[in-house]
Amino acid sequence: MGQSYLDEQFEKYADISRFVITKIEMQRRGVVLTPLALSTVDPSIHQTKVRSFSRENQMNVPASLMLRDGTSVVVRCNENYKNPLIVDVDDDGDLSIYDELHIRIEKVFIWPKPFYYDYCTTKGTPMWQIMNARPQRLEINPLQYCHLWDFSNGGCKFCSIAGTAASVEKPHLLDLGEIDETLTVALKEKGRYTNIMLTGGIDLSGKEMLDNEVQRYIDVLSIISKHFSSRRFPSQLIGAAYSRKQVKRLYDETGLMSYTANLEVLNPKMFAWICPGKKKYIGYERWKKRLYDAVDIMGPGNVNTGIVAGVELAKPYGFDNEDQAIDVTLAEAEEIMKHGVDVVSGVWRISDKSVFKNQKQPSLDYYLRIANGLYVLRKQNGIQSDIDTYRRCGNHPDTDLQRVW
Amino acid sequence: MSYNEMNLLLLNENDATKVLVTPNPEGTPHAVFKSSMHYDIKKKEIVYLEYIESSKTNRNMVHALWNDLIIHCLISTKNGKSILVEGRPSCVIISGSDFQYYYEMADRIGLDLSAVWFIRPVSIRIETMEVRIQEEMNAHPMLIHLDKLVDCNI
Repeated sequence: MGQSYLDEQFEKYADISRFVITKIEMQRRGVVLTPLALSTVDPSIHQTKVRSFSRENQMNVPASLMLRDGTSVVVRCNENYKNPLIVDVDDDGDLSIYDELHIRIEKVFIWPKPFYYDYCTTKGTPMWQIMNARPQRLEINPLQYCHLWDFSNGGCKFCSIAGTAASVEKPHLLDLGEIDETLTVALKEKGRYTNIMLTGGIDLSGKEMLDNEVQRYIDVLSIISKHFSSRRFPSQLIGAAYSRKQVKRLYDETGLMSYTANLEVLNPKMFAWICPGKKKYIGYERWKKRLYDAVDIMGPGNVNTGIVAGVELAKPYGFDNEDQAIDVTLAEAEEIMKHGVDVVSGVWRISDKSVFKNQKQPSLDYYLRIANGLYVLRKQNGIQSDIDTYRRCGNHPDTDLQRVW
Repeated sequence: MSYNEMNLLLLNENDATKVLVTPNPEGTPHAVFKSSMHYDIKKKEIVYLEYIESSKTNRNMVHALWNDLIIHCLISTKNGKSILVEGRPSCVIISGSDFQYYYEMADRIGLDLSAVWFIRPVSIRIETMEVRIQEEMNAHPMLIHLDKLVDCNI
């Protein structure tokens, strides 16, 4: 039997965990469950339904998958992929992932269904529509729409939030009372959560730009904090790049422990093209400056920025080749890390609800070099962060690597 | 039940001393007591509960799982029986019904639980002193002090 492309990468990158390599490839190519594998999906114990600001699923497919080292693989199963990896039932009767030569790569497990999924709020809303969950994280998207899309050419070109909002009948704003009720039930599931993450679309409105968005998050965090005896609780807010005054409000008035403002792409020209709304209203350099200021308030290790790795290669204005893109991205990441801000990467999921729906994925090799590069830079710059680890997020191959650091 | 499995049940004795030895990425062994270690007869694997996410052992176990390395479990009971198990980490869980079962067990004694590790036994060596001494005498009859063989009646 021949050697698959994945086997070649395992050999080539022998010093990188094959679990991380497998995860990246699953995210890069997508996964499809065979009919036999789908027959093992049981919505009474497996997480299938999902509602978030960028995703809606009510079909009987897994919300996502895990590997046997506890790694989450945030991937949408059975979408319209060109060259997916296949999940099938193996000889042990378990689910495994197979490559194009039908060589078994690894066992996979379906995310367990959250306890609160079986309940409705007093208003009759199924609670899975109020909060999303990962194996160890609760997610609240108070605003399920991004107002950058109100402006022509305003939204980020890789993003599916507006497309998702348009295709699903759902309120754009969550009800605070329903968030409170859902959280009450969710926290009854012992051992399930180590973090609460808040994110959503951008809202520029307010006396100072973004004030209303900040106030919305303060309101939600106030609801959340009533459930805990401690002043602060493991939490992450992924929002726009707020002013120093706005970050200080969040820190002083809530129990928030970490803050993320995603730059998405580490190059000002790419940023202007790919994220025109973010560029217009905040700007690349100001975004970075606000991240650096946030470290003074939130503390070292508690501020990071995420990038959609690979999007810098989009055509026609992206980098000409992968080597150039990697060099520029890692150089900028190092600059940002020197200011105490961590940089985490996610594999670009080319969404058919995004402007970039017809773009091409970079190679697996590209993602591995980015992930390993960020991991090495993190070590060199002494960035120790618990924000987006394998457990609290599970969407970042570079933070997965730090499990052995 | 096989001979090997009977020995693994020593892990389930309440007063046994259990040590887990894991190599770090540089190969240096790291040894810790792990009283939670036990043998799951149904799964046929050794289980231990990791309470501290950032512990050296936890990191070494991830390293061993990623690289399919051998780790060691050393068990000693109050009546002098002892075994050394070579095994490989097979799986670690951080959620799901099995995790929740152990989480609630840890919670009852006031502990948070980071992960539940499963170890697949590869080989078992009996380290009980009497057994080892007999093995030595059988294999190396020349390696003994002469005075131990002296006939006291002469």
